[in-house]
Amino acid sequence: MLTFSKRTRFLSKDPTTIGLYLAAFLFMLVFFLWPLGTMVAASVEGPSGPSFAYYVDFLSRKLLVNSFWNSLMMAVISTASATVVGFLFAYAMTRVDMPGKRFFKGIVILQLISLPFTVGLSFIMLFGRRGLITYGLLGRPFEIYGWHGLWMVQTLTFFPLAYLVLVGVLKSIDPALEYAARNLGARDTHVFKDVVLPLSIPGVASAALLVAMNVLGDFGNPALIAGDFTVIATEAYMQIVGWGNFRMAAVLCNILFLPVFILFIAQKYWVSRKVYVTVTGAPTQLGIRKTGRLVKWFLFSFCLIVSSVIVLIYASIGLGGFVRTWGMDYSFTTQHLDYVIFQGIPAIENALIFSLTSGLACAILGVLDAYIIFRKRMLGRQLLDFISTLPAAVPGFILGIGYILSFNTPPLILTATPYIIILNNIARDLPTGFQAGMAGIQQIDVSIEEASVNLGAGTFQTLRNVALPLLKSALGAGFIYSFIKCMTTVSAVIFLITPKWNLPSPIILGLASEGYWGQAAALSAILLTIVVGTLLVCRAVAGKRIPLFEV
Amino acid sequence: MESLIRARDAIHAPENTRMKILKEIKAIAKTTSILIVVAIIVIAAIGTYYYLPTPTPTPTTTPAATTTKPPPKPTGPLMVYSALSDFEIARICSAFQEETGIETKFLRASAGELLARVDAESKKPIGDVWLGGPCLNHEVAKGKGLLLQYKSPVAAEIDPFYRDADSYWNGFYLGAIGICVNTARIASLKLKEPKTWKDLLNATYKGEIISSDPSTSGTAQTIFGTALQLYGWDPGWDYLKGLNKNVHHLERAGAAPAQRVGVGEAAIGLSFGHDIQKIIFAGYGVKLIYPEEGTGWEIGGLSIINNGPNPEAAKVFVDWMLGKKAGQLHTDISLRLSTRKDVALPSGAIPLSQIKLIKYDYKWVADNLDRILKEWEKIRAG
Repeated sequence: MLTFSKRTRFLSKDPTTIGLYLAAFLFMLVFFLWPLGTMVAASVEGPSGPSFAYYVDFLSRKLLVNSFWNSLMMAVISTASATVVGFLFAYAMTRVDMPGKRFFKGIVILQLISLPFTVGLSFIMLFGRRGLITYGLLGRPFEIYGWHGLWMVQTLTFFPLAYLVLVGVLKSIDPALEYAARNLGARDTHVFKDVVLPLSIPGVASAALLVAMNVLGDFGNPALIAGDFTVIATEAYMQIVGWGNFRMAAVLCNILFLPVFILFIAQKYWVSRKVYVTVTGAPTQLGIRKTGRLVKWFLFSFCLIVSSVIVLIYASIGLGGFVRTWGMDYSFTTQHLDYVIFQGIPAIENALIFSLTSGLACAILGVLDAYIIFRKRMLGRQLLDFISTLPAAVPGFILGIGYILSFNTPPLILTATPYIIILNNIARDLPTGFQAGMAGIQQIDVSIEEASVNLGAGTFQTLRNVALPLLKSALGAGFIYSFIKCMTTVSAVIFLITPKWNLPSPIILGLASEGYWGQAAALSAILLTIVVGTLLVCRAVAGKRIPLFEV
Repeated sequence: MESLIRARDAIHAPENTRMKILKEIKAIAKTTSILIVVAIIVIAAIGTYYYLPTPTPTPTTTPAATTTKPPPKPTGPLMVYSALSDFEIARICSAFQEETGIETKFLRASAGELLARVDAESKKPIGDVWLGGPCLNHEVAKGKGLLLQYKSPVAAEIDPFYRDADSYWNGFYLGAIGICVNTARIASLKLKEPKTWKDLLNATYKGEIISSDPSTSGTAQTIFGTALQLYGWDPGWDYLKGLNKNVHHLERAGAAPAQRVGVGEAAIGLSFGHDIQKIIFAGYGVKLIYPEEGTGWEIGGLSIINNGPNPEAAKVFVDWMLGKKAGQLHTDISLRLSTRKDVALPSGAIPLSQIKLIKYDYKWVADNLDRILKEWEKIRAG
């Protein structure tokens, strides 16, 4: 352990590290912590000193208090169902030898990269009062608006997140343990109950917390499908657009941020420390153990049903753009597409500009950030680690509102510029780049860099000639993940767009809420094609070198 | 694409050629990645170039300077905030751009959203012109000092009733709240068509009415104002509570109920008459009924945002928009009733003379909006 003075002396010889370190801190301070701080400040600002008048007002307003409980309730039930679906999917993919795995994985990836409110949009088209399935095929009216509709939508939207975590966890549980249990005479159910399940509990908790954070912060789906069921995210929006009351919106954001923050801390410092990794050194040669036929076909049909619903969702989005009036007149038309080409293309161009720049920035910043955190022993590196991962937990609309509150006044006026959107994207998606960087760095033996240092290279040279070339695939992965996230972001940018710098996803949400399903579907289809196309092209070009969505 | 074909060849090729092809693929991949990086730089450069000239267009033109020498011809870009529907704004803006050569960009949002936006941006406004949305929103904005006073020479051609006396906004269309009925659905449910506001309280309509939310929609604010002025404050709220019991759900945008009813999601919708007529003209089996007691109305406002980046172009836009040609274009595409007498209404649309209007005080609604929304929140909480 270096002493403090030795450490500082060592650092004075290493300007690159110091520079990167300060730059990373400064960036997060200005473009992440400051907007959040402004939000807290705005909510307690009174005519004379701090005042909690708005919080008192909040408590006296039944609707707002109700929507807080509604948000929590929705988070609890959606998390439970999404985690169960995610677990069954993950178990099927890692433990069961069944047909169609590639297809199921593709479905999950599609859900992960698509617009966050796709499911909400298509559910009304499929299962609404005039839905293709409920009305067209079954001929019976069905109420989709309300908490139960939202619950289904959130389950389908967020189970892939749980899946992603759980696949990793289940893969890390050595199948040898299951063989051993079986050899000792345990039945299949006992193996599952006493071996697999206990070992994956921390992973399940981690996945559940991740889903809960996302459900709490989701804006698009409740805005489309919640009906009279109010949640904090949409109420905060209403406070701004209906009342012009940024203070109350800030109060709502803070009140929602509290449970999200607790979940984040729990996930980062408690649950993730408890993950049982049973795979050691040499990989086992044991393949997937044969599961009972009943289990196998149950899981297969489960995955098939869920996947079919998702296929239906995307089919309805694709078709919806080409039929005259969904729900009534299913004749072919290109009029919606004409609109999209006229009005949507400039917005899509903007989205491409923003996503390319912020994706690139996220990848580079994320990798550098991860490098200095994991390779340099700096004071406060844990703090940097914390604030580099925290944005993943902050709901988009909170940071969006924080940005307008912070950057429409001096010293830094950014509203109406494209930079405010790009910076917002970078701040929010930094964890994506950071995680890619972290994964990359952990695969590189530190001795390679030590060799470079021993040969006399400084940090900058080592970084440029040794570490970064080795981290190319991490950079690539970080770039593509952040690019995709930026292309589909909605709630964070809804208040930041301007006539000049408009974006497709808020336009889609606007069209959908105006009742123009056809145009909304057409524009969604184009946006999804671009995102999926990008991913496919990257997979074809970079293939083996950049691991993308290895699920 | 090329690399894909190569990759396919590689699978079938013998070992040594395969290595060669793989190398080629790698080279192609490398070139591609270089190209991507170049593309990013170029796009970023273009983006910056587009943005940078924006803040500078004639910000220093003071009124004093314009009197000494003829004002320079205003140039773009002009930023239009609008509450009309996307398609209409696009048509209007491109017509304006064609005629004046002033580059025009627009952002669509509902009237409430625009008010919040203009308010939030007041320290550094982004929009120049605010096109459409009930004048009560413009009236609220005027009260907050968000609008620029401008006496348009063309405004004199419009009846003063439709204009703000202090010239902060001008009305360019009039809309009246109507009831939209899906004839097929109401027949299949064996229900009677509603004729009056009172009819809507009938318990048989439960779950068959779609309206919009006054927190976001100017249409809904007009509906609420109508009920409160038709019946008085307390009986008005009783009425709205009763109506809310029959409502299936509330939309965020005021034109959406007509759309939803057109498709047949519910039998009855509340929207502005022109929004309902648009659905009828598009071929939906929908009927427009104006309530017998008389109905509330809005004047669609047009105003200039105070301290906007391009006030000169904004004035040109206001003059143009209030003129006959733009008025006719707007009415033709939107079916809204123009405030100009010389604009003809498309045949089949119901003219103003056949609609019974109530004595509606939009200023009262603007002044009491906060109180109305508070009361509404209590009802929503149940």
